[in-house]
Amino acid sequence: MGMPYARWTGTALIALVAAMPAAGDQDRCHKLYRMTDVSHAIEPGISVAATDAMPAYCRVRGVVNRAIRFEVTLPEAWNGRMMFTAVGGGAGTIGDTTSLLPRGFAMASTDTGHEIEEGNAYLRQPEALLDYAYRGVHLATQATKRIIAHYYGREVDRSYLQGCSNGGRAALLEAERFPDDYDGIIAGAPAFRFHEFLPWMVAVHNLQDAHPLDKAAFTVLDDASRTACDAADGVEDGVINDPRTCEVDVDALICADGENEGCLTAGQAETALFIYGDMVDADGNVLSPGVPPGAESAGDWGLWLLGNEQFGGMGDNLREMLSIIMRHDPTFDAAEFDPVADHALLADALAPFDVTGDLEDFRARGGKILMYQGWNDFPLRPGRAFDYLASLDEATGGADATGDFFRMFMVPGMVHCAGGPGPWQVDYVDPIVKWTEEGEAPERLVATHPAEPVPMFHLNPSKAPEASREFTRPLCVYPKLGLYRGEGDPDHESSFRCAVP
Amino acid sequence: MALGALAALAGTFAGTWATPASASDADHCHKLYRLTDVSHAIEPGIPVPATGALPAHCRVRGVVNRAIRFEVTLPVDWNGRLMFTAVGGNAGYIGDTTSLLARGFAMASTDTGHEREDGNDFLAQPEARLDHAYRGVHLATLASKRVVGSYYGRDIDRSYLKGCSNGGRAALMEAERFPEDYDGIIAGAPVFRLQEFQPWMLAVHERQEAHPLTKEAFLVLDEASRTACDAMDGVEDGVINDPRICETDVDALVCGEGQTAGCLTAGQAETARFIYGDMVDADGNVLSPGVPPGAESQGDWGSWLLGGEVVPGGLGKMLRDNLARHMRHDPTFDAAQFDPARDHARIGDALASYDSTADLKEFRARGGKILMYQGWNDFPLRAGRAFDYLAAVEAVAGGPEQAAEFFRLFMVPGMLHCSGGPGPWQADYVDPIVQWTEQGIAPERIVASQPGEAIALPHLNPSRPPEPSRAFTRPLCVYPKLGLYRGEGDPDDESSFRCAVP
Repeated sequence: MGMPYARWTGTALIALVAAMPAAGDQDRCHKLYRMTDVSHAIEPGISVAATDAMPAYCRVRGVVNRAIRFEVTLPEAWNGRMMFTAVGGGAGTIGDTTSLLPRGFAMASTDTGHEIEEGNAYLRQPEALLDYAYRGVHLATQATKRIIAHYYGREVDRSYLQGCSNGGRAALLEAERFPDDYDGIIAGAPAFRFHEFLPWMVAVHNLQDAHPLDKAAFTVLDDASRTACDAADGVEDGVINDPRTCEVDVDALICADGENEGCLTAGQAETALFIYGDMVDADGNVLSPGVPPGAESAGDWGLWLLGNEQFGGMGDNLREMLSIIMRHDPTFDAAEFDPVADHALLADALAPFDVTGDLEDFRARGGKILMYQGWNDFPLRPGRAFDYLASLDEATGGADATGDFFRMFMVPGMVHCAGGPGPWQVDYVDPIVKWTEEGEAPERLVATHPAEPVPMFHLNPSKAPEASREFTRPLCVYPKLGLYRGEGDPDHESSFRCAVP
Repeated sequence: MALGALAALAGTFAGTWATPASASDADHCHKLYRLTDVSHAIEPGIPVPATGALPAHCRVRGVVNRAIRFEVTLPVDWNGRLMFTAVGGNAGYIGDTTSLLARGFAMASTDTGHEREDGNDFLAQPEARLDHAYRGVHLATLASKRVVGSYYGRDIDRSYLKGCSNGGRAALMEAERFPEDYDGIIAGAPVFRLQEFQPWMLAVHERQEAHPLTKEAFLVLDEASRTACDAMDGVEDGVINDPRICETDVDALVCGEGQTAGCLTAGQAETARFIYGDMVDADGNVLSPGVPPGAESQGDWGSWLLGGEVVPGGLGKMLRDNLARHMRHDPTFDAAQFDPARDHARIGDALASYDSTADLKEFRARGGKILMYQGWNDFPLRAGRAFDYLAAVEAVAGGPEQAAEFFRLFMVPGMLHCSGGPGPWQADYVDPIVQWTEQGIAPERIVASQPGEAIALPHLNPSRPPEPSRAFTRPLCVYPKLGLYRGEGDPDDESSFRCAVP
């Protein structure tokens, strides 16, 4: 254990007691298989030796109820805490179980009951669907807690959960449905309601199939957004700090006669206008908010419109998912699905996925939730996050009451969960721990845009990532945003204040 | 159910009526997901507002042990009872969970652990097969009781189970294997033993493949049965009241020289004779009883011989494929070579988990009641098997009177498989089983109706589209009694009939 460990334990008041490596560690790790029973297959644990980056730890894998694979990592010097990672996308993989081992956390994650290698087949297995919706994380959490208590000989002090996208949804559902499971939760860009997400994405792809945007078009849109709005926040940094005030004149981007570069076809403009705009029903009610302008070429638009090697074509995949989910309704035809007119058709079948905003029990037992959301997230648009926050305010009685246990931080220039031109690297763990354990509510988090390009599998950018300038910014409790003071180094967070713009 | 009867029940059990809808009902409903545990995935419940005939209720779905889907419906005004529906056919879908909400029952049903969209693959999956055989209904019952108890904050007063065909089998199986699950059971046309059903049906299809009966042929047989036997019971109504005394001269229906319509080929006559007759082994022992004459054109023969929406692709192939799945661990078994009469015993072992026995002692000892009904003109589940089962129940119980204290069989004249046909096939069995179970009033005579309207039933494939007919009522009586015409009075009114052993 080096200095970082001491730093973390120092802040969090969790003593290092009982965390000393003992001769029996390897044996106890190996014999974790003894926790096997009719609903849990627990493998022999494997002792992993310390490296420069990682402390020595015990790693154990298991399966709950035939299908829910999970993995627990147990550092020798334990800080009494557990951090569980809820995975994103269609799940089917084990998430991060190592990043916080140097800080002394026991970690765990689950694939939620199916394997990514098998595609969408799990959607037609009734229990696999529910395990993905909410039960997998819950059962793996319970199993993990048993393993930790068995291994260390005492119960977990505090349990934390982190996840983004589908993992953010799963994290909020834990708070809502099983409020005793966790004390502190970090939820990024949650997919609140699949029956909002899926029809909107189908609508986007109906247009994209008809008038495809391509990488060149994303660059055209990105340039236009920047030109129109980058300077509005007082700093020209490629980041649109408050996209609500930004409007791109898409029609002005349509190619003139004879022009065929650096412009859009009329059809492409139509697709772009739909994406930026809200999807409304016949009466003009907003069914789905649109994507705010900014960072169009950074990789989110590329991934979610063009797919990539891993995800392939999104439109057909979405329609396949709908057919499977709706298979008990003989009148349902995914090819004929109208995202606006048929919006409500899916609500019943997808209800197990719905985040409702009822966090009363979680709040009552002192639980804290730190949510973050990228302003330039394509699939999970910020508008949904604002709606959710508003519903919480209504349930709790107001923004102040909500702020006692739930705080949202908007990340400027961040695309889906990570990446983008903004300051997207930030430690949310320290703040949630301090809030949960010491009552120190987070007001301002320091986030960094890294200078080194970080290639990310979930992005498909128009240009290969390049080295850029490193800068820091504050993230603030929404509706506050980090605003430039008008003086001072714009690459340093101290030149920004948190205020409602 | 008549309002008077409902009021009578309400009066009797006044103390069990739940408090009116409260603001927290929707919250209770939604939060039923908290019953989720390592073997149960329970979804958030969905509050369903009152519409038309359905009262406001909470509907919640879940899955037991990875595969057994079930659904529970919970009316706001609960009468303290549960009615579970065991589904028919090969299951794979959720059955009726709404018909009794208006009477205050909480309801439930299960697909028994597989989805019909996946075909019959489940028969080759060891646990899915046993869930279909008997465990699915049991585990979904336990889960439903937990859901009901949690939602209303108290335990169920009385639990009822209903089902027909495979659902009738599953219902008897519950009484036999898990006697504490239910207090009262309505079992229609049970499949007592797959070991009897499958070889017989396969034998039928071997004949049918060689000399196919057609919709025209069913009409010829139907007319012949009616001509020979309809008037025997004193009422000419298209219903053969007691097919045991009816014999159709099939040979006389064979086409004469040059005749091509309104008659049978010699081969068709052979197929028909096999169906009417008993299937016997080499020593003449009856392995399977035949189909009684009557209602041949009304849709049962059509569905089970020609296929239909319920058996796409033809039953013969499906039966052989299913036998191959059941017998897959026996490398010497070849479904194509299976001889239904000779090889009858070979499949007994593999199908034992589906077998009903007549051992209902424990169910009887705790006061359970079973009301069984059976259509006289049921094709797949022939009436003869029901008589055999009743005899077995009587043998175990010590005689017909002892059996009748907890088990009563009602034969339905002119009814096909579970519902439909020219007879009075609409009957409420719920009120009678409730009164028997809760008040000790044993059912003697149940009034049944022929609706008169043309009702297209998905499980039937009739020779002609259904047409409206005369509506009439008849009594159903405790077998061996039948409803006999008194010889005077309106033959369309049940009061003109008495229950007596013919």
